[in-house]
Amino acid sequence: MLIKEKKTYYSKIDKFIDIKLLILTLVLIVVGLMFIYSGTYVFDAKLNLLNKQIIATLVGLAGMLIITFLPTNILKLAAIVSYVASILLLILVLFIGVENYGTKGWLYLGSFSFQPAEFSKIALILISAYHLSKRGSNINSLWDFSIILFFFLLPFALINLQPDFGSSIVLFVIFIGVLFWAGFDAFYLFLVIASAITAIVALKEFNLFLIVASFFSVLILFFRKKIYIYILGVLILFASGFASPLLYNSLELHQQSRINVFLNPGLDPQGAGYNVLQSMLAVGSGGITGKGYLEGTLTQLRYIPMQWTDFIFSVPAEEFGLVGSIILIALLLALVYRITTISSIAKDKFFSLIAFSTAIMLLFHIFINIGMVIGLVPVMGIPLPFISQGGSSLIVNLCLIGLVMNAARHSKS
Amino acid sequence: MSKKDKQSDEIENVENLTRHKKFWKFWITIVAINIAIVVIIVRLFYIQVINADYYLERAKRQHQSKVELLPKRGNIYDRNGNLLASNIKSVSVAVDPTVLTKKDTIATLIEKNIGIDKQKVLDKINSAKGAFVWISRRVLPNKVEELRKIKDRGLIFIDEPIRYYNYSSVASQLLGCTNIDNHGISGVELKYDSTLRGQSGYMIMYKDAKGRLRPAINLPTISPLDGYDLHLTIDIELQKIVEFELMQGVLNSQAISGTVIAMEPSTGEILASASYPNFNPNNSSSFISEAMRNRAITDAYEPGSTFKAITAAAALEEKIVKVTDLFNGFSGELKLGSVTIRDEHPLGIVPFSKAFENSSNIILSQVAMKLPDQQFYKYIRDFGFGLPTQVDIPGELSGKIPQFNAMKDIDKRFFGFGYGILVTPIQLANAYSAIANGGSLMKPYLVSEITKENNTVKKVKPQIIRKVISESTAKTLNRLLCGVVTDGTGKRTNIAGLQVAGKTGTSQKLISGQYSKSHYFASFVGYFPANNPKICLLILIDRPQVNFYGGSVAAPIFKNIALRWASVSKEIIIAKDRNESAKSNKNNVYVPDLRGLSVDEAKNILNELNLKTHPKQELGLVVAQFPKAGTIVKKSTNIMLQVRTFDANTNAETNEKVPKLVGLSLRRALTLLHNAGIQAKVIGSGKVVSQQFEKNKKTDETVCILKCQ
Repeated sequence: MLIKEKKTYYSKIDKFIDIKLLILTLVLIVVGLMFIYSGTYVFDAKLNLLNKQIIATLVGLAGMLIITFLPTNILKLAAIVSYVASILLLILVLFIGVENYGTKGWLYLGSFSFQPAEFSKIALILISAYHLSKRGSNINSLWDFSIILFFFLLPFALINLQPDFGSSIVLFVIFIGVLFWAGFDAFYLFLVIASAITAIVALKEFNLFLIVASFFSVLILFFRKKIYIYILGVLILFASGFASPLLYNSLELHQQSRINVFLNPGLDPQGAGYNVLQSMLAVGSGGITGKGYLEGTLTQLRYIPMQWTDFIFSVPAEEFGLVGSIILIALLLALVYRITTISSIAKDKFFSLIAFSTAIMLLFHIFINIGMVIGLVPVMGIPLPFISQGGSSLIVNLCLIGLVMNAARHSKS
Repeated sequence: MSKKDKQSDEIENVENLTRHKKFWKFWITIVAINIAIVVIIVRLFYIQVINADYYLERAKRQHQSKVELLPKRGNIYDRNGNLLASNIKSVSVAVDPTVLTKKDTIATLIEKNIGIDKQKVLDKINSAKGAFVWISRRVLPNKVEELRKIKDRGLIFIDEPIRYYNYSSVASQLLGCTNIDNHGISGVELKYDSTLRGQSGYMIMYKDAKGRLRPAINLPTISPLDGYDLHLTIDIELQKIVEFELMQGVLNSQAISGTVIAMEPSTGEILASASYPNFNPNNSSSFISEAMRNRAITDAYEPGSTFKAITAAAALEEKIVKVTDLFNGFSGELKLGSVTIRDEHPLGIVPFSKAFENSSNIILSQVAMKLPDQQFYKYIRDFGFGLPTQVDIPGELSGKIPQFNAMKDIDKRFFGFGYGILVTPIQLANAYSAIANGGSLMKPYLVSEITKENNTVKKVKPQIIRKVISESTAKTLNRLLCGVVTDGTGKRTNIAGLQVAGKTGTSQKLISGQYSKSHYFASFVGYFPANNPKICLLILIDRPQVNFYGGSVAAPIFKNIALRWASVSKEIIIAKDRNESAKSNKNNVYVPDLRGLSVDEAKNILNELNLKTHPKQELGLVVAQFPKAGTIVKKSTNIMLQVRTFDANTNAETNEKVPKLVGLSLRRALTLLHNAGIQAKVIGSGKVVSQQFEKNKKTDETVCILKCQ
């Protein structure tokens, strides 16, 4: 997976800035603007969503370039500063934040809004990478694991207070990604993921929970561990399944209803269920080649509420059909693939971890967002990277790309 | 070389790294990415290819909306192309109670602008079960302007054209009217409903998430087929004259109703037909079945003396009777057992023509006896009695003719002068038309042409049903009928310079098996000019009270119509003769008939003729004049006009607006006062013995106090 390009000027530039990554990023941003235009075409011009996105793009690109060329020690310093700042912002938003769509997650600076939860993603990635790249740190030691767990749990808890389940799950995915890439014991990693899944399944249906828990219990036998650890694992699996309904019952009613809607979007036909139905109609009616740019009837007749944010994928799917969808997915996954490659060739553990957790985070975003639009996964507030309208998310993603480019620069020099 | 080395170094470097610890993690991640790709693409394939049709169909059902395109209802024209009925823009207001938010504001504005009680509107909205409730149908657009400013998703406006009749109540019974859904419910509107209505089309439009419709470019549109236009045989000018004269006649004779039908004898075209009371098709509150009935078609009556022409026709055609044959009039009284036949004008031994002119029941009963049953029956059938004329007006009756084999002699005698048979005015007018045109019974019709965008779709041609009597018999009858007007019972229709042929009729109404002595039908049927008939006209007045003879009640109406029509029509040449006689003395002028005209129109006409007038009122219609129409006066003579204001809003000098009411029945007096817009206070009942005006000090309105006995 290495640059086999022979042109000298290309490799010269490529040493400073990863050209494949740059081109993929720029193409995705342009494609995103194109679909935001279609998704807001003839819409109430007051919102000026496209202009906002262009401004965010410019800010994000500037940030990306700056970060690309920042020296490592400054980045490490920034890891601590940004983490502390993100925690402060997450606390601040609980007091002076503005509530949109049932989530108190927005801070307003004049006419610009900002989501601290988005910022906390980059902060968690940086601080985890920083800590684990310190000389002598070992993720399999209880101390270092506990620190990483603490770094993750603090913003996770604060975000759940907003509540923003989508973002909190993204933090969890980043956490898992960091553990995985840092070489955390596969058995325990498996146990963490398996008990999380068991806990969620237990909330939905008891019988299903028993099946899933048993299945995972059989799977852990494939890890070479001592027998008491097996038993402990099985106990943890079942305990998490039994504990989660108890925890659920101890929650307040409105919190319960939020979890319910998350687990069963069909229960709320006027809310998320309606969105999914409409987005599936848009995607399905797009057919193989689509209805043509700006010709998507459901898109142009505004059947999909807030289509330009979380449901943006329905625009290309309707207007360009299966062909357009596959091209867009290919572009997005090529980006993830490129970042994963960079993470694997990065010499420095700090950059390698940053790149990998970025890749895992983007992959999760892409899979969940598209899956949500096509009715594969429950609706949660997770945007499609570089495509969805939303300044905070775009700027954060571009800064992450900047970090990855910095990693690429380091690995090539 | 050094560059190559560097590159190969890099490759080695990467390979070392990937071979290292990270190797399997990297590949696990790649596998995860690929699983994600596969899962998503399989799902997309399932939705976008396998189930695409299902989603496309569902999407279409959701965002495409079939909008009905309403056709334009066809116009109705008179024979001269005057527009009688057309459509004007109007708006219907409805609400969707499920999404309505500004209930109260809307109800308030509706009360203010449209005039529906606010509480009623709210009740309507609150009691509605579905998502659509009409609030007010077909309101003029200016009344909803304010409502349109309210932004509420639940408020719905629908453009629905409203039928508009340019001449209001004129020809209302012929034209009929439409209901709230624009479907014809009477008259031509009903008979030709499918022709006029057209076919609705539809347009597929996009409906956005908020339910707003947006035009779509490539979706099918089926344009509506507009209704066809109708051209009637009636002449609206004649119709106006007929209606005014009929109203005057009915009011003056204090009758309960009256009807007129005018036909073109040579073709069977209906030129005018009216019944009084009438209604205003532009105002649905006047839709009373009594007033909407076209009595010339829907009512049958015993024709009495007007039927004698039919008896005479049969006898003359069969050569059973000659005009010169002598008959005994028995001095006006013929006793046949318990029954006595009487004549109004007692006759001795006279020729048939004289008997006919004087409408002798006794002699006509003898003629009837001479006619063999079968022959008599044949002519009655041939003239079209007992069967509907199949005129294209809804609600026609067939009348009733007696069975001859079961008929007693005395019944046959009575039959000879028009009792024991029921006819409709149109049947009788049609029979007279046959006499007028030389013996051919025509099929009467009202619609002469159906057109679309000025192209003829169908043209109705005059249709001869049969030849009833020979040309020579028709001529003989013509002479007899002319004699009625010049020398007989119909003298009141005699017009200098215009030969009129006609027959009076006075028939007692059969009330619970007894011929009433107080309830009569007064009628006159005839045609003019007698030498070349252009109009056959039948007047029927039901239950006149002032005077019940056809010659006194119906004949003057006939004359007035004939006179006024002659002064308007180009076809009737009466004017020529008159002008010639007027020309003989340059200072002499014929007084025109001004009745029914507005004061302004009357003034203009008088000015042209160098006559003067000083009406006391400038508004209203001329109801009477002195000298009478047709008299010769010198130029610059002052013509006195009596004007009646029909508009209730002008509160001018009340005394002059109201004619003298003394001697009139209370009902009629009240009608006149109502027309003049004056409130009445009644003391006693019966006939008015005195009238007195008084001002109500509180309201400053004039009240007329009527004392009755």
